[in-house]
Amino acid sequence: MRTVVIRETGELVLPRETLEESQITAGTALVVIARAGQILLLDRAQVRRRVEEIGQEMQASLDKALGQAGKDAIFAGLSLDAYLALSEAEEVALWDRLFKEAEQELMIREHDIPPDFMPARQKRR
Amino acid sequence: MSTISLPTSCLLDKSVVRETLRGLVRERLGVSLPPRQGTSLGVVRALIAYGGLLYITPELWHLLERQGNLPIASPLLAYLRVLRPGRYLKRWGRRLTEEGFSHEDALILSYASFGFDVLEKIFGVESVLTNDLRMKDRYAHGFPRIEARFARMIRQLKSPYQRATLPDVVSAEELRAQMAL
Repeated sequence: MRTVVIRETGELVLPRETLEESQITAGTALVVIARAGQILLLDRAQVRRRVEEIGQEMQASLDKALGQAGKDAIFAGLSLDAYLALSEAEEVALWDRLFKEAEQELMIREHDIPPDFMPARQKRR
Repeated sequence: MSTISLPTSCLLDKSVVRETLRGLVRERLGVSLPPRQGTSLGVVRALIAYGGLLYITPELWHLLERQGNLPIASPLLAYLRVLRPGRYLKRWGRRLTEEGFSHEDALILSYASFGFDVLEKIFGVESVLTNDLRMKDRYAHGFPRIEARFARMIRQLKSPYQRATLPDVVSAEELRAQMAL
C-alpha cells in the first residue's frame, strides 16, 4: 500500500505509479469528495461517462421490462398511455394510496441493531 | 479542481422515486422532462456514479417490487438497497409526529436514524433526499428542538443506539446544484 503525506500548505504530490494506474494525467480536472477520514479524487469526465452509462443501462432495462409486460399494464394496473396521462395531483394520490397499502401489508417489525454496527454519518453540525 | 461534499449514504423518499421513474419513462419515449423529473433522474444517476449507497424504506420497496409495478420500477430497483427497521424506529417516529410531521414523513426521518444495512454494517444515513420542500422546511426550522429531543432520547439508550445520528434533509435541486450537473 502506498502512502502520501499532505504538506503544511495542503499540497499533495501523488506518485507517478498512482497516476499511471488511475489513468489520470496531469492537467485533468478532478472532483474532490471529502468525507470524514477520506478524500476521493475523481476524474469529472469519467464520472460523466459513468452517468451516461448508467442512463443507458436503465433505459435498456426499461425497454426489456416494458417489452415483456406489453403496454397493457405497466404500473398499478395502468397502461403506458394511462400512466403518462396522469396529472401530477392524480399521480401523487395514486402513490399515496399504494404506499398506504404497502405499509398495511408489511407492518413494521423492529429488529435489534448489532452492537458493532456504526452510524453511517457523524453529525457535521 | 472543484470540491464537493456528497453524502455517501442517501435515503430516497417517495417523491424522488416517483419523479425519477416518471422521468425515466418520459426519457425513453423521447418526451421532454419537467424540471423536477429531470433533476431527480439526474441526481440519482450521479449519486450512483459517485458510488453512493442509495436506500429506500421497506414500505417503498414493497410497493415497487409488486409484479404489476415492476415494468417501470425494475430499472431503478437494481441500484437501490433497502433499510431494515431497527429498534426505536417507531418510538422516534412518534416523537417526530408530535413535532408536527405527517406519519409518512416521520417514518422516513426515523428510518434515516434507526434503519440499518446488514451488508455494510451501518445504521442511519447521512442524508434524506426529497422533493417535498414542506417537509424539508419543517425539519430545518424545527431542528434545534428535534436535535435536543433526539439527544435526550438516545442518551438513555444502550450502544449502538446511543450513537444514532440525525440526517441532513436535502432537496434534489440542492444536490443537483452542488454537483454542477
